[in-house]
Amino acid sequence: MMARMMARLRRSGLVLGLAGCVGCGHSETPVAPYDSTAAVPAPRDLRVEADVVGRLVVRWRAPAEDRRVVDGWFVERRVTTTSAFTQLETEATADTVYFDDDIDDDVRYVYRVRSVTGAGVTSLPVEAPPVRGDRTAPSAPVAVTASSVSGGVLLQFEDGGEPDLAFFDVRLRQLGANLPPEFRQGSGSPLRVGGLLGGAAYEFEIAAVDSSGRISSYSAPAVEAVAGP
Amino acid sequence: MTGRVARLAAFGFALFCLPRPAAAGGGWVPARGHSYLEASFLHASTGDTYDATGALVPYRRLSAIDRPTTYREDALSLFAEYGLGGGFGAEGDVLLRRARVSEPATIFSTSGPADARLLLKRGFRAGALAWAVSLETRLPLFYDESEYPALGSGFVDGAIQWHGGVGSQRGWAQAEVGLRARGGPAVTEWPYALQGGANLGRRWSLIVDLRGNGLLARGGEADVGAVGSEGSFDPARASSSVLQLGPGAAYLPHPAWRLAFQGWRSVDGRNMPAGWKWKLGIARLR
Repeated sequence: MMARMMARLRRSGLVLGLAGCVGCGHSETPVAPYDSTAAVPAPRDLRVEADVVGRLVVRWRAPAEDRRVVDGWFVERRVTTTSAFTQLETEATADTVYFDDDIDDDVRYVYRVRSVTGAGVTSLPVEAPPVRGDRTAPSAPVAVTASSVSGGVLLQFEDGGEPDLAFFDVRLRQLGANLPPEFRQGSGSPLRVGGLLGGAAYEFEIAAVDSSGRISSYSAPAVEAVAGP
Repeated sequence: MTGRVARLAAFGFALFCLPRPAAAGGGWVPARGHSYLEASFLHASTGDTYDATGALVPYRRLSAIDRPTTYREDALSLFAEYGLGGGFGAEGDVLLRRARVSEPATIFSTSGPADARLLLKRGFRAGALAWAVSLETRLPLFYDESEYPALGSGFVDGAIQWHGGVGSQRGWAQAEVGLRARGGPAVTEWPYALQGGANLGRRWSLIVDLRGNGLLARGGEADVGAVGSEGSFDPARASSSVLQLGPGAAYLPHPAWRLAFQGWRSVDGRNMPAGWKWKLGIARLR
């Protein structure tokens, strides 16, 4: 209570003459050469990627020699349709990773990062290439059919038409065999699955994966086919 | 600006001109109207600290970042002791501090009046032993404890202490022990001191001084004060313990004046900068 009272006194200016002494006060003074922007080490290897829950993850690197002078980093962002960057946090982050959860789907963002010393001197900014926000996983393939072809099975399906589809993930299991499922990847329909045991029956499910690594649910129900000889 | 200098000078002069003589500190209480006034400069500079576990480690503002750091403290201490009569005496001191933390890219510095300490003492005699009990309070002087490095904890402390001493022509020995309740998150401490002095003729004395404080609790709340704003280690706000020991010498150019030079080396501690602390003081006895 006393401390609060004294803080109020201090704020109100009703302080002792001593409190206003010459040379008293607080400072955070930059030390040469780090009083110059050019001497403050900029973040290294900046990259931005979308993660599987739809955030954009900004990562950079700061080796020990950079941390000797850098207290933290400011992350800034703009959308590609504007030129002005906005600082995302008022306080510098001490981590070399920033998770941006406040993004819109299918909007392209540009990130840049600046190092800052304890005295508030910032480095030159480092900018990453634009990256697209992706908050939506692709839809699961539908109308899946499987037919025997020589040396395997041919899968045909319809995808959701999302523009960022990267590939399709096939989960297959040999029927009647107590074996774990196998996974194959392909770029689209039709998709030929080879390397199967000729004459053996398999079931297949397909999921779509987008460029952010987000994956749809697997198609249902599973389709069955006998692998060609 | 000139007004501030004048106020500071007036305060120092008023403190220095408080009336009348005495012997100072320990179990002795000055006779009515006698006084002991001392102005001293304190200096400490170190790159090491005792951490919360008591291990001697490099001083780091941010514990997670290995960065060469120096902690430096300079202070002007103005101390006064005055005999009130009837076995009572009053003591007080005020610290004008500058704390500085130097890193490769930044110097963090805070300076100004820190804490004022006021003490009321009742003295007794038991043969050669002079002993006293005292009540003490320490008040923060309007600084902002969130500024790093802080000048003090920002909280009011209170203490009760026992002081004792014996003296002769050849020297003196004195001791004190007490209990100090800290304001804020810091835990209660028990301060202690032992001092021995040998008189070498009429003018010179040699001093050995051991002092410090222990803590009544460890861990949990005891370590809260170790972290200031921004997650920084801030010695002034820490709940700390220390044991320090050192030599000193005093010279009396005149019976009413005393020059003293002392050093202390910390030998143990927690949440406390390590190393040497130096004091150069001049005192006026009336």
